[in-house]
Amino acid sequence: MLEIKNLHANAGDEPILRGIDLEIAAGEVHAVMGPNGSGKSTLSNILAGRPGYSVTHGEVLYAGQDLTQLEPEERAREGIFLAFQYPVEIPGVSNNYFLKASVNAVRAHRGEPELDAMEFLALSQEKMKAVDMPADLMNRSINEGFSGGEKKRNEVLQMLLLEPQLSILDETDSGLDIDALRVVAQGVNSLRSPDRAMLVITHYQRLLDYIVPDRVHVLSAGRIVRSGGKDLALELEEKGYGWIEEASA
Amino acid sequence: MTSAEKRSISAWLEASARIVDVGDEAPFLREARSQALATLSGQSLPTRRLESWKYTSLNEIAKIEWAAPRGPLQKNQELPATPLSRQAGLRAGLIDGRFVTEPETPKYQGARLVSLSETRTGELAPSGCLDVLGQVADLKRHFFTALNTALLDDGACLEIEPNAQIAEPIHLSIVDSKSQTLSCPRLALKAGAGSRATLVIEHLTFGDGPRLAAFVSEIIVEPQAELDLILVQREESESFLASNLYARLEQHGRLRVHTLTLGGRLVRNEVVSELAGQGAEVDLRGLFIGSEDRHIDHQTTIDHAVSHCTSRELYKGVLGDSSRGVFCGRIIVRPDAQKTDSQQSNPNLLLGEKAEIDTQPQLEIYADDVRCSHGSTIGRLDPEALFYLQSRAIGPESARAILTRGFAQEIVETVPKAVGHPQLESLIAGALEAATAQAFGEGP
Repeated sequence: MLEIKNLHANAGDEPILRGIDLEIAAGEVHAVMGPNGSGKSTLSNILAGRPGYSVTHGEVLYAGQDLTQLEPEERAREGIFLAFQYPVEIPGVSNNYFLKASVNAVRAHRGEPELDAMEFLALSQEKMKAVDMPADLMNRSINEGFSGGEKKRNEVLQMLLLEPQLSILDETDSGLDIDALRVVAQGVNSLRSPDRAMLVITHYQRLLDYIVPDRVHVLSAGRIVRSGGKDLALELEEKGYGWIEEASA
Repeated sequence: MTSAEKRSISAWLEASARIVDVGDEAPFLREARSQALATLSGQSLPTRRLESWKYTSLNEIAKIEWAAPRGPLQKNQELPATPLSRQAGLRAGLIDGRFVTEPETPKYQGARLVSLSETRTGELAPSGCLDVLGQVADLKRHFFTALNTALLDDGACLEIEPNAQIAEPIHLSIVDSKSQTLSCPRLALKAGAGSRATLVIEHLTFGDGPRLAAFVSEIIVEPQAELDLILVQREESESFLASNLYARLEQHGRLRVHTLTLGGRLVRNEVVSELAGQGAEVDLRGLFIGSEDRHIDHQTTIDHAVSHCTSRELYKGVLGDSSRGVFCGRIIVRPDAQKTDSQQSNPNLLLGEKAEIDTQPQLEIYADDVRCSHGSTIGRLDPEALFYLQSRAIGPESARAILTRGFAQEIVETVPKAVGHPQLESLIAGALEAATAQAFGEGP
């Protein structure tokens, strides 16, 4: 589903990624771990198409097509979803209005009829239950005054509504207590299926107790320095990133 | 003078100066008029050489010859119905400056809305508003207030009885129906002690051609009274509007004014509020949306005359194409006004390449134990927010439209629900569409 070949990329003018190779097949969950500054967020931003990040070398193929040629909204319509590390607060725009516009943009792209207000209400209520989100958050402005946990739940709610083919979770565990983490992970796991893939980016192993990956990759200084099964995460937790960095130096 | 006569503003002023007496008017009115005439003697339209007119040129108004509608009172003239007026209980209009009411004015509990000319000639019982007329406005400082007073012969008197609690909005439409016509609508409003009411003032024009309205409102908010005013300025694109609003707030009186400027060629808003009684609270909120080469100028004065008063001020501008906005927010804290709590903010969204805003806070603080803050910003849409929406499949044009609407929404949110939020939002959406058409393409 996703093929990253020898990817070099800049954040602004600064080279961050220095040759990444990564292949994720449908049905798989991959985790990318690494210390701060290793390039984890740059990778997720490149995949989602955030302005200010550029590919300088290599390629990124999504379902066989060159992902870098697509605008952010085109990527989203094609089934890519980035759960933001820092979801943006947008005063004056209700969460409900935003999510309905988003769902209908994807449906229109798929050639499906748009949902009316009642249909969307039914759908959103069902999905909100799955992430244990209070009903009033739908009528509030997007993420405005939401707690850290509420923001992350809102990200997972969007993911459940849009049913993406490829989900990228950027440090979704940061700022979550254990109960919220469990709820968020449950929501994510409910989307796992043989035709979807996920890329879970995290600093800590903790999240991977709940979203169990098929593969774990360790990113250091813009390269994947080690890949393995889910046990690699446990080993990292025990020995720290220094162990990998020394071994790969 | 007949209504057919057309003159330049200067010629009108000269002619007015020759008026000795207009009919059998009440002494207080004659006095106000003669003061206005004295003030205007030798004056013409303000020019940009004056500090308060630095950013706004009246050249276009000076060039046009205007007719003043001074025909007889038209009985049974129909009030225009608008989506907002349909939400109202009590309603009336000033059509070309003339007071018009519904054919069958229902007896309305707690409020009286009557014609100024009828009141002053004694056809109706004298209204408490006569205590207001000419008592709050500042003839000397504001040209259009003096002009309005000099040419005044009708207006609306609204009196809210003490302790009346009126949930339904009251609606006053101000209509300029004739091309090349100068109108001087006037409002005197007394919110009786302990009362609570909402007044919507909706400016409309019908047909093509330039209009000039010099609108003056005078308001007294008595102790413990709570008044909500919503000014909806949505004239056609050739209209000129000078709206001068004066309010005096007595002890624990509360006034909230929403000024929504959605239309007009040139709109100048002067809002002067005097916090004259302890514990009074004023909240001025404005949304102005410019498109093409429209010009919108806000001059506000909040005068903290006594201690323990609160003022809040938030004006938001959305300027498209080559439209221009001006915001000058003056806050005076007098020596006795200790424990003043005042906040002012003027964020602006510049969408047009050639759009412009001049924003200027003016704080004059003569007391030491006060809390005053102010800030203004001029910016474009937040790229982070744009990316967030795009990453959720929403195209860039729709995303910009959604964010612009969100920016404006903050002002609508505090309007009392009974005024009709969906109706207001649809008027605002229309203005935003015009302002963003060029900047964002065809929109969603």
